Amino acid sequence: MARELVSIEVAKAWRFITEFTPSAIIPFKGNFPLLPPFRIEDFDKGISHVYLDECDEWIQDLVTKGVRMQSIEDGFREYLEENGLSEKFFEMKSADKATELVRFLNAHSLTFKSLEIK
Amino acid sequence: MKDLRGALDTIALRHAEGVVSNDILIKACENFKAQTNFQENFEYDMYVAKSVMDYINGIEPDAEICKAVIPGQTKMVDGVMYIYSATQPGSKNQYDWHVVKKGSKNNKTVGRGGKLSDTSIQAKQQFINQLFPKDLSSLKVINKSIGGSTGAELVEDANGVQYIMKKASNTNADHVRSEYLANQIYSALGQRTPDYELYQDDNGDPILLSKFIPMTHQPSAVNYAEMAKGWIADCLLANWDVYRNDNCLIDNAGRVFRVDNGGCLDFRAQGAKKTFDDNLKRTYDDMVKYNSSVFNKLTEQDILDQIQSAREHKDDVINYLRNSNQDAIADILEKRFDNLKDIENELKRSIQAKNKTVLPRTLKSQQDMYVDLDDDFCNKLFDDLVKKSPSCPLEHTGRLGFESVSRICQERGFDARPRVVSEAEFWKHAANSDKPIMFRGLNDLNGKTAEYYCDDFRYNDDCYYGSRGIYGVGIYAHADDVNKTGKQGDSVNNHSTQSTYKKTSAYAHARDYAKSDNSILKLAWEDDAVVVELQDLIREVQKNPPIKTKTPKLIQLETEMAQISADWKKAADDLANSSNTITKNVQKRMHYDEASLADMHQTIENTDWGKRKPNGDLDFPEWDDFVVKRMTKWITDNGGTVDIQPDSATFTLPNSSSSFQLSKYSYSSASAIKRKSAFSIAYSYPVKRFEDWVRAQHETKVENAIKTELKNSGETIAKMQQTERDLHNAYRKKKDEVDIELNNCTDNKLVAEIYKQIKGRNADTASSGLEALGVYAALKGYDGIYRNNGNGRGNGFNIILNRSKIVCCK
Repeated sequence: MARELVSIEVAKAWRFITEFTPSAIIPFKGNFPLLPPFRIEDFDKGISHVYLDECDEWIQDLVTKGVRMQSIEDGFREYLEENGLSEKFFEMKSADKATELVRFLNAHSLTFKSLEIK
Repeated sequence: MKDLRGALDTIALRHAEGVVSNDILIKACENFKAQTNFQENFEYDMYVAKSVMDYINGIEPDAEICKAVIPGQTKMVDGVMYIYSATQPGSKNQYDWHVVKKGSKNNKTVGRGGKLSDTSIQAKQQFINQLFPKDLSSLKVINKSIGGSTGAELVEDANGVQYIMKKASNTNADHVRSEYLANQIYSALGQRTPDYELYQDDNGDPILLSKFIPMTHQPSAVNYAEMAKGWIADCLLANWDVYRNDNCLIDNAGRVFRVDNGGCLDFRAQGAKKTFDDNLKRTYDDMVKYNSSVFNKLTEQDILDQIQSAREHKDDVINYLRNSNQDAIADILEKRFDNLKDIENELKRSIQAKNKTVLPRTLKSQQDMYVDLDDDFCNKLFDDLVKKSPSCPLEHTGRLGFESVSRICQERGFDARPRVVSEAEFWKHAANSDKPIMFRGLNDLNGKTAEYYCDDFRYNDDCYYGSRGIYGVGIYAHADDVNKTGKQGDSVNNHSTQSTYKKTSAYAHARDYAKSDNSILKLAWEDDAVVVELQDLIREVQKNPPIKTKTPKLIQLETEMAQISADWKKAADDLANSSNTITKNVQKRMHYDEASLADMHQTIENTDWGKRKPNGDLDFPEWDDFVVKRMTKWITDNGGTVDIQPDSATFTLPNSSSSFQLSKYSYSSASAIKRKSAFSIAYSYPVKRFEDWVRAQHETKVENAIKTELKNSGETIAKMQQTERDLHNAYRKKKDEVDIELNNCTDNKLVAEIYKQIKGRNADTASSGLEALGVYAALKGYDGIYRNNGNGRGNGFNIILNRSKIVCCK
């Protein structure tokens, strides 16, 4: 199995670990941001490696969670795109948004628990 | 609340019995929500959605979700309304969804009607009706079932003109209307179909009438070239079956008529729905695969010409659809027209690859390329991006990567193709360049090969700027800037040659990302390229906030935010450390030396107590060595005392209720060494007893004391958690206020957004989440960004923004 490169994985995870609301379309639950602003400098120092498995455990844990959130959001965006809903979604009522999200979760073997980030 | 819920449950039961109507139950649910101040939120909506979807899909209901959904709750799914009610009379605890009613069908208007005014409708009818009968009842049926999959009839008017008639009753109304639309679109695209007209019967259902063309025959191979002239049109309309059966007819002049176009757009030939989306390339590839005998009649240039022709008719098609109230189809078709570019680019690449020539580049003048992009441009771009991605406008990703960067680069002409040169020319340029050459490794991705991506960079007019980039969004490449001593100098060009470049660390690192040696691009900057160093760029952003003057309010808010951040950090650190602190305090108080005790256990375990000398005598550590030195040290490290006598030792620990005595005789005797079985390792019985005593009298007591103290500190920890939460919320609120005030102060929303992301970063150490720098650099007209020692790999990274300033090896 190919080792994960820091440059790629951190880039995927960044927004999801640093924002107070990681995603505008997926209601992730957790204590956000996972990487508070006062820890960013430590994080920057800790990622001066080639591969993710060379970084400290707390960094690996953080990046893994961020990448996971990114893949769920990307998956949902793809779902909206395939169903011609990319632009309409933002204008939908909350109940209809929930329907689409549930459809997506069901179709991809995801549950509500998948949205809890601990 | 319990009484209210009890009443609602009763109403739901009566509903299950058929005594109470849907409306009353729905009303009761609304009243319940109002009287209990029930706040619907996204979480409740998710529960409702999940519950009804599980019901529809036949999945066992989730107990937690069942409890959450309120009886009388309704949900509309795909035009069907469901209501949540009791499942059977007498059961207070079982609820499920029931169908209330089906929704009404949308009345889609096609052809005549729609947004056209009565006057224009009349005018159109006057023209059309000259060709078609006004009154369908005057038509005589000649053949009740002339063929096709939807029960078409051959009919004739009083003048002997014959028509094919298709009715909604033989398929469905939308299918009939869709075929009419498809025919009109074909006509707009210059493809021949019989003349068509759409009528409505007395029930409002559509009837499609088309002119019957006599003396036609099914096509054979000699007709394929003529049929292929509509290839792109067929792809656009997703007419999968056009070359099968008798969906194309040939008249005696050899002309091709596309008939029976019911399998276009989002319908199959028999009337079932099919996927019709903007993925034109998929349709194209499938049609190539399954209709190769027709496709092979076309050259690449033929297809390019068809694409060009289709584009010229795009507005006609889209406007027609919108005027006919067909916005959904119009939206999809518009994207399919746009995505003709995918096919076009592939063909152009194929042509170029075959010809091995490089088509001339179109470059903007220096003046236009580096023009100052003003606030108006930036604000318009920002507003567009916010519509697409309200929460992260800068990161909105379109077909060409980060849309913010791709649009700026398009505006500047940065996306023009690189200068592609031969191997010899490339190395000649590299030798004279003051900037390091670069390598970019590419791999197979998303169904496309690495070779495709290499040619994509070299020859494609579209320039893909990437969808992420920790040092700034753009096109990444490894810089050959590590000199012979292995040290990296800023922007050093090591003048690697054709024979030495593969030994460089930059090449080796690019190889990590590449499928093979053949999928590594060799790149160099043009001599006049302007490349900015990452740290300098960060400082430039920070020193140039997009505000003319910071208001006192902004200064005040930023100061407050900095203070809250510091307090929050302390609270978070204290919380993280709280249990550690308690543990350490107890250990210190009780003289617990973890390292010493670990050493004790390991030494006792690792000592070979059963070792024997050549003469067979036991050879374990002597009393002076093990007891007097080591055991004594372990005890005194943990705050205890040891009384050593010539023939004995007495150990006491600070928290022990008893001391431990060990005689020299019992330690040194051969009978001290025991085994649990013939095959287990030997151990010293007195030393094992000592170890057990230390565990019971010291380690266990310290552990229990820690547990007690942690339990008693529960309240303290809870307070610390609350403090951390409060500061977390306060920081978030303050950050929002700062952002709002910053927006109020700025004339340039795009730069303000960049500034927000970069302002707090340390220029010397920042190494992630700097995508916004790519946007800034492009905005300011930098051709690229340089980051030394990217990812600690030794060599630097270049982030290319101006592809036209790149020299690329063929």
